[in-house]
Amino acid sequence: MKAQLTTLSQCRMILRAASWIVPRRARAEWRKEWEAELACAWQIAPKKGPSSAGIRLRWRCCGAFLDAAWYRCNRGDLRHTSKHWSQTPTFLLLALVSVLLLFACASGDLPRMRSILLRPPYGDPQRIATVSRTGLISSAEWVIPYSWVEIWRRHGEALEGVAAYSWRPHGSVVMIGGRHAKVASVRVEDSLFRVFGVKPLLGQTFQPSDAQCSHNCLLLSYETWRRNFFSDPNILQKKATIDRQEAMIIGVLPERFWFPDNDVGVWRLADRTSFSGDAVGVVVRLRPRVSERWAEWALQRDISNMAGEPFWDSSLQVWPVQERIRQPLISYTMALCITLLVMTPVIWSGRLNLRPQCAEAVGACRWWSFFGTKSFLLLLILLAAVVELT
Amino acid sequence: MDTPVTLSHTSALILQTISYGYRYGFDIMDVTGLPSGTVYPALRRLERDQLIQSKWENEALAQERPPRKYYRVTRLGNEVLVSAVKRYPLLERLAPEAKTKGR
Repeated sequence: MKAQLTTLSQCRMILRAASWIVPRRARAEWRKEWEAELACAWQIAPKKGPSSAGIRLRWRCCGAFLDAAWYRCNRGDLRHTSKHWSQTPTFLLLALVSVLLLFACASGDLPRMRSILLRPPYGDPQRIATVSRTGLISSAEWVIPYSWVEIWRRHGEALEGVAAYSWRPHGSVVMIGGRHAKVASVRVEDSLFRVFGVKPLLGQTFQPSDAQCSHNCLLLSYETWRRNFFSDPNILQKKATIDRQEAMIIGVLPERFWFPDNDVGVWRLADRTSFSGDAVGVVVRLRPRVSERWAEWALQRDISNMAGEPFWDSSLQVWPVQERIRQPLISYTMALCITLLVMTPVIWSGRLNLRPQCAEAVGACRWWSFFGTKSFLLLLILLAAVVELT
Repeated sequence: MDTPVTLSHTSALILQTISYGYRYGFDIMDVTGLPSGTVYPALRRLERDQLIQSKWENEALAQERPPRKYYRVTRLGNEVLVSAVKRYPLLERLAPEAKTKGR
């Protein structure tokens, strides 16, 4: 008897849940019809065998969700509903967000988004910055001569650490244990990972003694390790080559670490002689309580004093890495704003049914604030979903 | 009616079942073996197209239970059913036996 009552209450609960899908004006009648059918079926159920009848009734009540969905979508006319829906702000917003998400997926920026929204895997990120030259016409001159890095390493009082890297990644073929992967690689100094204060996921980062190693020492990105080498835990012991030269994998970097570009899959150790005479990218860790402006002034002064560079037409720029990482987010926000700006004349021209229904200004303000809040919440949910799913 | 109503096989089967005197949702499910997620939306569609009509049971007749909603085929529904039977010749064989009296 108790089990039978449980079945009945379960069925009622299912119907109650499904009734929330039905539009409010039709809900009471919809529920009355289903509950009447349920009551009648319950009266004759024990004659047919209580356990199977209970299962059957529960299944039938689950069908109420489809009925309720029909009520919600097709009560008027499906075509009319879809046409009306395509003119609503929600549809417009969903379309915009979908386009942006597609763009983000196609450009491979989703992992980068994750690194923007979550905490970076290195210590004191606000003190890490790149150094470049500004005020020059050619982008090739934005980079720094390697000799300047040596000066800062010896005299930079504003800096706790400095490291150089080849400023343009290039394509390499890495082969490990019979599997090969085409990835972007960048050559870096051994001090780069100490500047970042990053702890590897597997193995270790570059040490000064690695420069004497006869092989190419490599560090893999988490994405390369996961996607191309299937998260192989024994990857450090396997034979490796890079561009047909013998190499040794010494570690795997943690998830969400990327530098200088999000598509870099391999970091190669570069010795100081290989950089001499080259222009390089520079990353520094500022001392505590040193501002970017003061660091720019101090670095410029060191170069003027030691190398005689007058900085007539140019200056040095210290740019926090966090801002560099967040740059795509700014681009996406800008793209969204521009799209909305372009859409505004279309909206007000009346082609889309987004004009506030109220003629009065108060009504219009209320309508737009509701639309803004809803859009913002939807974006937040989507961003959270992106973070969770990637 | 502006355009002639073309019924799907399932809708035609349900319409014929109602015309045979099975007038409640669960009753139709019992005799046709169709699930509730198919029968009820089909009933709503048929009612929207004015092929069937619904009416609440008299409370006095419904003893010790809530009154049920029952369905009956309209004149238009009968006309559409005739053309549906021609279109689906197996319908006659699939449909249950006619009830002499509604429950």
